[in-house]
Amino acid sequence: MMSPSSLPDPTLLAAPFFILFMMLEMGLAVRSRVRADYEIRDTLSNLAVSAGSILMVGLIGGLFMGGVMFAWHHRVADVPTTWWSFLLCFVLDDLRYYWFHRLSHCSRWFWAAHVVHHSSRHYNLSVAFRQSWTTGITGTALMNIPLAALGFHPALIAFAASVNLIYQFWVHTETIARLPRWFEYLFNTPSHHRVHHGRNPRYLDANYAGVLMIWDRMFGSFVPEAAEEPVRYGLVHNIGTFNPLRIAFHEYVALLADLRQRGLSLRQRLGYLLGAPGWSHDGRYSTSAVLKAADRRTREQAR
Amino acid sequence: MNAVLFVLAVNLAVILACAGLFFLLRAPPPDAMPDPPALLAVFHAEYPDARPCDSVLADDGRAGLIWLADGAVGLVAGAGRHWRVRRLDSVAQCATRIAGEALVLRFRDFAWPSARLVLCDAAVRRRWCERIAQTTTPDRFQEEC
Repeated sequence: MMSPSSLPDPTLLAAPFFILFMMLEMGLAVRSRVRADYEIRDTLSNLAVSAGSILMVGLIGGLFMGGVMFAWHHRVADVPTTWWSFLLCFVLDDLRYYWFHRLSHCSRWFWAAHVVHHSSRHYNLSVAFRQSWTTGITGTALMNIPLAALGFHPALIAFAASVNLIYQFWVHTETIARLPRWFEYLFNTPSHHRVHHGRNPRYLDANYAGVLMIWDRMFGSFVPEAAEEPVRYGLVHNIGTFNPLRIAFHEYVALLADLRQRGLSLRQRLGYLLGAPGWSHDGRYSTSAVLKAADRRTREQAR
Repeated sequence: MNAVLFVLAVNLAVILACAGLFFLLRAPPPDAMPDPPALLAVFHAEYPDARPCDSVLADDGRAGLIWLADGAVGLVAGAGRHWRVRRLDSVAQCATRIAGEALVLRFRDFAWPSARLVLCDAAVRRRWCERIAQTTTPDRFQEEC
């Protein structure tokens, strides 16, 4: 049995390798050896956003940890820190990640933080660095409470979440087309994650998995990458800036503008705050469900 | 905190390394739109149902405006190697300004700082400036066309 406090920070250990692989992909892309679309301003924004994200995690990352610690102090069992408990914790944490990620796409309060990661129109390893600055304030850390209440040590949960995050780095690439079928069936792969970053209506709100693709298959959000429809990356309404501050906060500014409209009822204001991204009281915007339905109709008419 | 500082230092080093790599290997310059049909094609990719009545392509080919049948104005402007495309209608808060040979559009939208169209013909510049001013909600920075 290990001591939970002796667990290393795997993200920190992996950071130099992330950078190495990104530089390698970039170098090969510039020499046209592999398919990877790098653009200087975009890549620099990704790295600047990453620096801001790390700083913000340091500042506000522990905001809701009190709730997790409270749950652990009132745990129903004592789970030892061993290799099998790590595996169990990893799988359960991956399920937690699936729902966290799905929530981040389905409600605007959470989307306002997560949109940062999707706002690049490129898809390469540097996009993996483009992480939210404000996840700490959204309250999603409380989704760790069930694991802590079950008896998994918070350090073990954090370790499993870090390993999950490390796994997700390599799926942000166009250099790998498809992997063996069994692997594509079980795990998140570059192909599945390209779909997740797509702005084509058919690819919206799909493939939320961190590591295990089975969650998407189980909960009906799996969409395969179609050869006849190449993925177009970015947002439904793309942003026109490379400024890290604007990238980090643009959705909050838009959300605030929507909330400040005159004459809205409380229900309508809550709709803007917690409803699906694209929800509006007068139908001026479109949610992804509306866009997907319109796309399906067009596709059926074309047949 | 030391770990955070370490990662931030690594980030800074990587940003400098990437800038150096890009500088040494010189990424190709962004493409320009060759003619008005190319401008319309870019706009139609985003708004397939839009019906254009008139259009103007900036002299450097890096931006363009489209007058639409429903009275709105379509904007296509370069953003790095991509095009940013939007419809300017009464909901859009936009200020227009003429700066030398360019028509500058400035938005209240936080994620759309500004767009610059080089239009050497003064009459064309003024006409589009007026059209946008009539179509959109004036921003506090609005100047006379």
